[in-house]
Amino acid sequence: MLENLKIIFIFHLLFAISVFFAGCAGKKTEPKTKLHTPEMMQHASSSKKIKKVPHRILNEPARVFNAKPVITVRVATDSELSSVPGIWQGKEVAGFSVLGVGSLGLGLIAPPLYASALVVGGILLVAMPSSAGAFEGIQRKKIERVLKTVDFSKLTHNAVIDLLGEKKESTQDDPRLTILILVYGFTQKFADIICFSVDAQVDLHFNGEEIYKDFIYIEPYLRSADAPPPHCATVGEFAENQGALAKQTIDDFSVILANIVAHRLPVLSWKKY
Amino acid sequence: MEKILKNILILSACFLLTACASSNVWQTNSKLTPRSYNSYPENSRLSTGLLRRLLIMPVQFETLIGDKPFFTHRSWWSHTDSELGYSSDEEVSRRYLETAVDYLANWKGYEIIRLNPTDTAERHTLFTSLEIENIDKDLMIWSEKPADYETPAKNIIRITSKLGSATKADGILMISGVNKLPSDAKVAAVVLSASLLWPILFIDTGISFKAHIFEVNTGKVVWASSGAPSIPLLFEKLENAIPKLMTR
Repeated sequence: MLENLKIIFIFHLLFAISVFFAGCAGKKTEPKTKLHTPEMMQHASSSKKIKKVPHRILNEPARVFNAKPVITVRVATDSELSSVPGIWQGKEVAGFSVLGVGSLGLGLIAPPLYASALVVGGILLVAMPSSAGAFEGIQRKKIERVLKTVDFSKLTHNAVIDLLGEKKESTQDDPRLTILILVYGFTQKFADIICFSVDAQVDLHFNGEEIYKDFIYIEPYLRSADAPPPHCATVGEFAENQGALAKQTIDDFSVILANIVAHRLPVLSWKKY
Repeated sequence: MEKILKNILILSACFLLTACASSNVWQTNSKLTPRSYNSYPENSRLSTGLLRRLLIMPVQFETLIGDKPFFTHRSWWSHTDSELGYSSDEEVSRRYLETAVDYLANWKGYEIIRLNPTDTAERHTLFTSLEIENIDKDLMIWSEKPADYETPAKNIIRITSKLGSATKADGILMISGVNKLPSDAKVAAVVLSASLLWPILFIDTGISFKAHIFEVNTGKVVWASSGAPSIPLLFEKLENAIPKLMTR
């Protein structure tokens, strides 16, 4: 017993001496695992740059409409999605005539959201990490169920009406506002963090003429300059309580989208809080 | 021997789990009142998110070796500046301030105002460096008293009100952090035990941040987060700010 203890003691002593000399005599090199440098503590996503897309505001005193607009909000069809220009095709936005002022090229190239995520008829489904197991599968199902049962375009329609009012019986002369939901849903930010994202196209027609057309982007790494950040949380948090947070977020963003539209079109009379 | 090794492994796992744990977050149940705008949608469910214009105070970050300041008590084994990634607490505090500003603006939608005399971009000449230092100290001391969060002292109300009037902020954000490096005694114990005691290096070491948000109108602490090992994790559970276009 005593012999064993002696061996252990000698071993420890030799080890301690060797470590001490190795530390003192050896040339200082970068350790294999650095301790707590600020760079290590950065969020994995923070190094990825967020692209901000400029937006247009239709703000011409001569164009103030007294009539309430005829409002249409709907999810884009597959053929409409494929014909959306610009960012969605990875090219520059094609110039389009705005109020006869000329063309506007946004000149921004960015990865299209819908190309990197699973889109079904304009609804983005949760992009899960490849390591997702059975538990995450159940959570994903809950979120998918929320996406399928909650009508985002209807919620947005109601929110726009709340702000702008609606013309029930329209005439040819009434301004026509169309909000085309290109894609919406949850997409991965990193690891198991997902964000509610929505891209939409806003058109305003008056007397048969297109007087305004622009896009709204609310994605983790691609945003309109006037858009707030998307709401991000873990898959589990969105799925909890039968997707309560997912439902609430979809509801909140329908109101946010309506407010962005109203702010871009001050020519339409809208209610203030 | 096998039993001892097992225990060490279990202890190590516990320490590692503790080190990886997310932050503790507290939020008031009181109704908050912003200062920079008059109205917002009545059906809004937001709480801290209503304080969309946040005044950020200078980050207070310190590096400790055991209980002593690292940069004045270097020891024989201690890291070099390049291993640490910074050469002074002031330098790293400024870097963390930038990280916080960037994260809160880009991922949470807050409008961040700085109150730092060295920052020439948005200089507030209303406050001197000494005043800022004193304000910072008073608010920091108050933020250590969770029992009094909802009942601020008169001097706290006076400070927050003064800062609010000068900057039109809705809230004041305080961030502090510490990087605790293992003390000489711990390192010696690990060396002398032929590394068998390596898990003790994880006891009470590592980076940890704290943040507190004061409501300008009342002086109350309305949100607190602690124990996060990074700035993004510190604010992960903070509500997104109400978008400016939804305020009047």
